[in-house]
Amino acid sequence: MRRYSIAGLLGLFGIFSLLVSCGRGGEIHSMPETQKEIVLIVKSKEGEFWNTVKMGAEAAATEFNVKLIFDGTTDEADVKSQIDLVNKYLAYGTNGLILAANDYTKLAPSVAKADRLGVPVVTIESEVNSPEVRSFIGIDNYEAGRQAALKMKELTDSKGRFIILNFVKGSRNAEQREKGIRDEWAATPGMQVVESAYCNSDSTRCGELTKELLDKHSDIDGILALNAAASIGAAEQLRSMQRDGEIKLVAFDNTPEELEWLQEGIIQATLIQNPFSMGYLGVKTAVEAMNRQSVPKKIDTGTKVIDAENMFWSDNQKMLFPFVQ
Amino acid sequence: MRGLQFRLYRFKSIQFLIAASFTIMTVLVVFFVSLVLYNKFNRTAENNTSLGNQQVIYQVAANLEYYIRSMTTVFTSVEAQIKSSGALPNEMLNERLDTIFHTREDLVTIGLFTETGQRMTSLPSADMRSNTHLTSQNWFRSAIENPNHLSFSVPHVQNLFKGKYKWVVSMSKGIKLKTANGQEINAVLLVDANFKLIDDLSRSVKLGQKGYAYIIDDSAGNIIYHPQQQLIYAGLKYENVEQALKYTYGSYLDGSTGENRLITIQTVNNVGWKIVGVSYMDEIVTTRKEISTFLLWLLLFVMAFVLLITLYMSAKISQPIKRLEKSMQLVERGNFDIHIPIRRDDEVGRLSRRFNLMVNRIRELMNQNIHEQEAKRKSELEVLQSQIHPHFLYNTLNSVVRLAGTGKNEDVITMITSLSRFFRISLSKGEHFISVADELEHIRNYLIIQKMRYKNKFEYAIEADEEALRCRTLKLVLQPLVENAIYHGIEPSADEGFITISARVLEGKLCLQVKDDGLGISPDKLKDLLTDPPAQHEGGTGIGLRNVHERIRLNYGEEYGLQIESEREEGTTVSVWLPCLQEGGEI
Repeated sequence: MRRYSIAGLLGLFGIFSLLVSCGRGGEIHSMPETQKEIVLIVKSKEGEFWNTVKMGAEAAATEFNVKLIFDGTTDEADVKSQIDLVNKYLAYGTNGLILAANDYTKLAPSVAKADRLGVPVVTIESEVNSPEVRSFIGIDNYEAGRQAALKMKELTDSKGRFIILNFVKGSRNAEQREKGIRDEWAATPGMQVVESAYCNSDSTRCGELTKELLDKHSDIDGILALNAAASIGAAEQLRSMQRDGEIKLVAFDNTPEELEWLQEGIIQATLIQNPFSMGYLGVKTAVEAMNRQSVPKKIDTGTKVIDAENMFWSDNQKMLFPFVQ
Repeated sequence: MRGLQFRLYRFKSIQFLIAASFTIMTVLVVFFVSLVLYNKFNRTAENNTSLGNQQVIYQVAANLEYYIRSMTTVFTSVEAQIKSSGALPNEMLNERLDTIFHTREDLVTIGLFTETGQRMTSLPSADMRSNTHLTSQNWFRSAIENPNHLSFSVPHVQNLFKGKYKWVVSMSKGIKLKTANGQEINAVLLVDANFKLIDDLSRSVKLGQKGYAYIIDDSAGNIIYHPQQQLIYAGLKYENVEQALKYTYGSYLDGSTGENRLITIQTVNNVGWKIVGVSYMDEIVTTRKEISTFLLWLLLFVMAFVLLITLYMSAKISQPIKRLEKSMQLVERGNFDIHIPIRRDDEVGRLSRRFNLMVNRIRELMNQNIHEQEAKRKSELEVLQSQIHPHFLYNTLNSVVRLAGTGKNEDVITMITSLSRFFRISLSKGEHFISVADELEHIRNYLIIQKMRYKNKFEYAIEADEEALRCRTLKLVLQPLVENAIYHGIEPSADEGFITISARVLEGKLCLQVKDDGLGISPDKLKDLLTDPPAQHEGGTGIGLRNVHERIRLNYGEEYGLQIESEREEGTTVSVWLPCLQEGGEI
């Protein structure tokens, strides 16, 4: 019997060494790259706001080990191009889609199509009217409107005549913001909205419109500009008319121009969103949806009112100036 | 039931025991070795990560320190230039500062301010913005509070001059200056360095796939730089700064953020900053998982391999034992004609040989025993036979006395003569075998006596072939049969009986027949007559028939013996089958 055990041990030893050598060979081509892919389609590829969104998304992509593709239209009003973009990436095959929609209703079929293909869709900044959207990440635009209104009320001692400079007619965000303002002022008879106008996210047009409106109504106490383009147009116009300071301006967003005018006192206050969080949470939520985890239907990233006083506070600096130059 | 038995048998087998114990032992050993290897690997991986992180962070800290030293040098030379130059404003000083300013592209601002925040000179010389809150800025305050001490600010956005907002680290110092009219005033010297360089340096730190480094302020614990700054301000991320503040350098494991992270800390001298490296343990866990799956496969493989080997080996060991066991089972069932082939000269081989010897011995003993038993039985039966019924003798003698009493002398003579002949053949010189003729003579004398005793209650006839007469037979086979015929067939019957004795050769066999026309035997009694055990027959010893039957079979073999045919009220025929052995022939 001894013969057998020796033979057996020898065989065992042989197999062991074989296995060890096999294992060593196998380790070279281990660690396959099985990164999932997420496409982030925004309203505009350029601009501070969307770049910050991209930064946040990239931070999350690194953290959750996914591949991020950033794309978007050049014009915020170009709905057709955005639909084409969505279709293109769906045709390429992607695991998740994050969308900042150019239109509340027209993107709904694209979202439904993505959902049919098993691609979870998360919207950021602007909502899409589709039950297939897993989650919306952005600010509460109604609440933002109310905050802007409140700030204006504070600046003008609850009394005055105001112009609302809105961006795109029919845009849900625009409507919500304006509704917030009007509701906030409804109980204060001193606060009067003289006119609200749309300047289609074009700062030049917004400037012209500001001039037209100021010429039309003589005794305006303040302007509420509800997005970056409107804010820039209005501020530029006020400065060139040398009526800055006299007419209070409450703006939205934090472009470098707006910040400069905020320090100079042309803009009295601006409402900032947190685009970094939108990008980060967008990717995070999309990853969770891809992993079949339940995700909240709505995530509020919050807004903040910034004025010349608090704009250089340490915390706010990092929100207002996201890029190190 | 059968399956269960089979299984039980399998589990109790030596093969199973060997296979199971050997497999379990090997698997346990491999398992423990794997466990030890795994733990060792784990620790090494952790140590390596920790060591690697420390090196990276140390390198970053060294770079940062070097950079800060070089900035300090710049600051000192600027300060020296200002002090060495005359009263302000001074064209030559501006030129010199401009030279310094342009040699380093990471310089953003050089500025000299009075205690009240008035600009004395500055580069760039662009317009200042409004709302700068200059005197309340940190760098200004610390310069006023600690004059003659170079202080570093945390990174902030420089908002003094028109143009781009830039992130800078401000170096400031409160200095004393002489004005044109000889007055000494306090001033604040500011040199801003672009933060981009530090940012790039920190951003390039990669600790594993997800790991990163951030910088905290040693005194207040403020986060100076963090790659995910916005997340921290938005409350989406949390860094356990308090814990990091306790260390000057080194590393520890931190689970406060919900994930296991390895924190590595290194302090940057001069500025009082700490670089904190963060790497995620689950990245080590990934490689750990790989190793554990590898070890698992190894374990499975070894298990399968060992199982095969041990099954083979245990079969090799236990097979001869099983063969031996099977042979023993056969012996147990009574088959002694077994010989186990011996294949090897090991324990089982030796056992088999012993077993073979034993079975042989048993076989011999059994045969011997059978012979002895047969011999004993024969002699017993012969003894029985030779005790020729004292009862018969007594009866006969009684009859003789009676005949003598009544004066029937001729009958007496016949009876006595017959009796003497009867006994002469009974004894027949101690021979066991006699001729059929003698046997028939013997039975004739017996019948003569019995006929006289029963007062002619029956008649008889004796017939024999010439050939049959020459045959030899076991002696005294007919007498018990005739006795039975008289006692059980004729005597109870009311009528006169007739007994026929015949001897013939049929198909090469000798057939002796005793036939009566008496009462006959009932069928149930008939079938028991020749078989054991001796039942209690009414009125008979029961020995007679069986005795004869057994004696014949013991002497001649199983195919010979008695054959009884009977019918109620018709009579009984008992045939005695014997081999036809001619006179002079011996068995």
